[in-house]
Amino acid sequence: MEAALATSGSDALVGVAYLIGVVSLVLTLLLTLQVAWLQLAARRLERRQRRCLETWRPILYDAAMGEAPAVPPLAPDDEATFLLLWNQLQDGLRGRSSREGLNRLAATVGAHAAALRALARKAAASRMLALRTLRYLGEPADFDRVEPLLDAPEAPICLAAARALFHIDRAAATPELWTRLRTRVDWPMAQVAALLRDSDLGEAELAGLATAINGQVHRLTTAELRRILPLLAIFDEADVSPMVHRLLAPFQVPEVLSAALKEARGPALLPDVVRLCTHPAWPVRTQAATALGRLGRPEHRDLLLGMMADPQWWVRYRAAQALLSGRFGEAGELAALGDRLSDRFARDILCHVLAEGRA
Amino acid sequence: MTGLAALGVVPWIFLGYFVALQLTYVVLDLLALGEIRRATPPGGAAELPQSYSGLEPPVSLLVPAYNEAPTIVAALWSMLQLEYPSFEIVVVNDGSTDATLEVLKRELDLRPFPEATRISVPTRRVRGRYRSERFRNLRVIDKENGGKADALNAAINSARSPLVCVVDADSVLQRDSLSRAVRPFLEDATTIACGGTIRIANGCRVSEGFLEQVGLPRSWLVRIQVVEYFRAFLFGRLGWSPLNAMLIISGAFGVFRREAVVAAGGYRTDTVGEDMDLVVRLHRTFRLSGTPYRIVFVPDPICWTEAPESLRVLRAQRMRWQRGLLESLAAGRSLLFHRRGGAVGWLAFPVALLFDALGPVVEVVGLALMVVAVVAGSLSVPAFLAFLLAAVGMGLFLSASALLLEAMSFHAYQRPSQLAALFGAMVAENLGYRQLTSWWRLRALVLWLVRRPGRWGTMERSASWQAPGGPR
Repeated sequence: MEAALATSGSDALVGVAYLIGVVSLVLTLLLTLQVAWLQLAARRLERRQRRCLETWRPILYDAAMGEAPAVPPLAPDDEATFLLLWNQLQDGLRGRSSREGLNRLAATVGAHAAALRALARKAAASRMLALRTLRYLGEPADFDRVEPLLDAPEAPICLAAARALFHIDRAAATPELWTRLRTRVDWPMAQVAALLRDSDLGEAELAGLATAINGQVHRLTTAELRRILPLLAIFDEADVSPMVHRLLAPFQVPEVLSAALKEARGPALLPDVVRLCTHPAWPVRTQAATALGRLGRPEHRDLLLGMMADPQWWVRYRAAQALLSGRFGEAGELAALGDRLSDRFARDILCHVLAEGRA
Repeated sequence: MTGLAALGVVPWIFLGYFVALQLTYVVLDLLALGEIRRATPPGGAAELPQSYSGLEPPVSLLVPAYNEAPTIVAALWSMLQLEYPSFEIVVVNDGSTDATLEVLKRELDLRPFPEATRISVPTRRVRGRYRSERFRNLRVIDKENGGKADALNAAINSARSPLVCVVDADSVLQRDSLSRAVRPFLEDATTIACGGTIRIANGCRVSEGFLEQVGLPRSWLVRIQVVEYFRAFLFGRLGWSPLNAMLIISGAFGVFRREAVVAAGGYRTDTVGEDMDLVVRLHRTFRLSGTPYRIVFVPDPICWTEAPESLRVLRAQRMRWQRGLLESLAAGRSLLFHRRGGAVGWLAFPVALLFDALGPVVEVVGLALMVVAVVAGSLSVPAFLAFLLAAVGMGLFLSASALLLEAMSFHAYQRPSQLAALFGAMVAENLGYRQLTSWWRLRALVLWLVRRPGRWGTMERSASWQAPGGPR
């Protein structure tokens, strides 16, 4: 009986093994066929795209040069390739007249309608392409169509929508962006900064945005402040100095102090910077030394000499760089001063930074 | 229970182990699929103007060099052309016995430099520090030989940037490698390390240090490794990344937050698997201290490297990798099932231990016992073939799914002949190659258990894919 059970058990096992093997082989075959099909489809698409580019590239160049080329009908299958090429040309163009030529051509072939169709599709790729197109077309009526995409779950879509909105109506787009900056922690702040920089914001718009940030700064958490503070680099010093002063208050945490010190640009902030040169957290002292290099006066030379003996290498390094920034004396005079320093670390770091300057 | 009856249990254990192993890989495969969809930018996104924001942190490229005289200058030339706003290169001549330092001095116009260095991690004695007169962002440290890990520690001491990028001197990088690998640090301030997909350069055309055309190597041994790399990177690592449980970033290319590396104690010099060891220690340091952190993987193929073309060199490489794995797991064992271990301690670590470290034992011993069972008559030949079919079939399925991930994402191998070759390599990998590498890994395990010291061995490089080029 026991032997019979064992035999039936091993028969079942062998059956399972066969089944696993056969199913795996069938799945392997199916996957390989899918890879082959993907390859085939990619090659077919590539051929079609090549033909489309060969047809439309010269026409688009002529349009950009202000000519009025003969325009063939745009096949529905070629819409995406056409829009991609059209956008690439727009990206590389400088000058209003070239853009107008391309926009006229877009109107002739119905690119706006094609972009709206692409915007309605689910695929992120289509929506991305549509947003780029609507950005360059700059139709005021598209603002309301694009604005909801600022709340899309995908950060790249949101930022492409923001770019489009800034192109269509900067003044209306600025508050829309700001209201979402706090909550959308997934938006890379580097890209937001690039977007604002590329948007050629006017003085009034920048001041408006600075005021909006300033008005809410006391409500932001440390994490939010750390995220948003690098944005201050795009504003005028006068617009941000009062805000930075508040952020340099003694009760702030080191992360905020370090980030705010990077944005300290006005002489009014000098007392804050000097105070923070002796802060217990070394990243704060490092940023304070750098800020002192930008804002300091000759009487701060001794303070920097003292910082060159700091236990932290970065504080010593930044202090030496600040000392040699030209605000605290000539390099020769400072080198001679360095020879008289009693602290070995201070001498070494000064020697290092002087050599960097000579190299 | 008699000995023969006990042999009858072996197939059950063998099959159960394989099913568990393959199911784990299928789950990783599915995770990788989701991640690749998320990580691949929506079409057209890559076409957007990629202007720099000005917020990109500076990066120090750390390049350890030991007897690299023939190739070091070409490698540095390509690194100098990387597209990134601010970076410096720190080359460490690790006591080379050839003319590496002389070549560097001559070609880069090196001058001694009085650098005031922080000693964040201890290293062998530094003999000299130099700065290039030709390239202001390039420095060279000359030190006594201490191995790759020691050289990297010396470079970390000298690095000035908050991010350090560890690069092998023979790595072929994409021009935008740094931009891609730094992106996760910009997106999330808690990112402390980022690895990328490493591809095999054999068979590709490389000119002046940059990849010009992707191709497949002629050698079947290397083709099999191409498929292996797909599996290792496209779902081996990509699958663990969303769980923040990746245990290794390849030593050929990885970006780290310098402070995090110093906090973990730098590279360990008494292991041959210093790359994995560092990542395991980073996990341990941050997990056990409760500090939020992310170790991420970008699936973009950002680095191409030369694979061994002979069995002898491949054996040395695989034995070294296995030993490195064992040393890293042993050193980081406190993470295993630790209450703060998270996905690393409760998933990645046990999987690495069970399937990667002990896998060769089960595979080789299991196979040998099954053969014995067939000879002894306690297992029929059809049953043996059925188990073999299951093992090979599942291996093929996983290789094919890695191939699919590649075709869905980067689509580097586009010709039908290349697909056919990869399919052939997939079959060969599961019929002989895998068993051979398991045998080598088992030997490495035994040697490690008997405390035989590990060696790095010598990688023989043909660099047949490398067209001439260099500084002009």
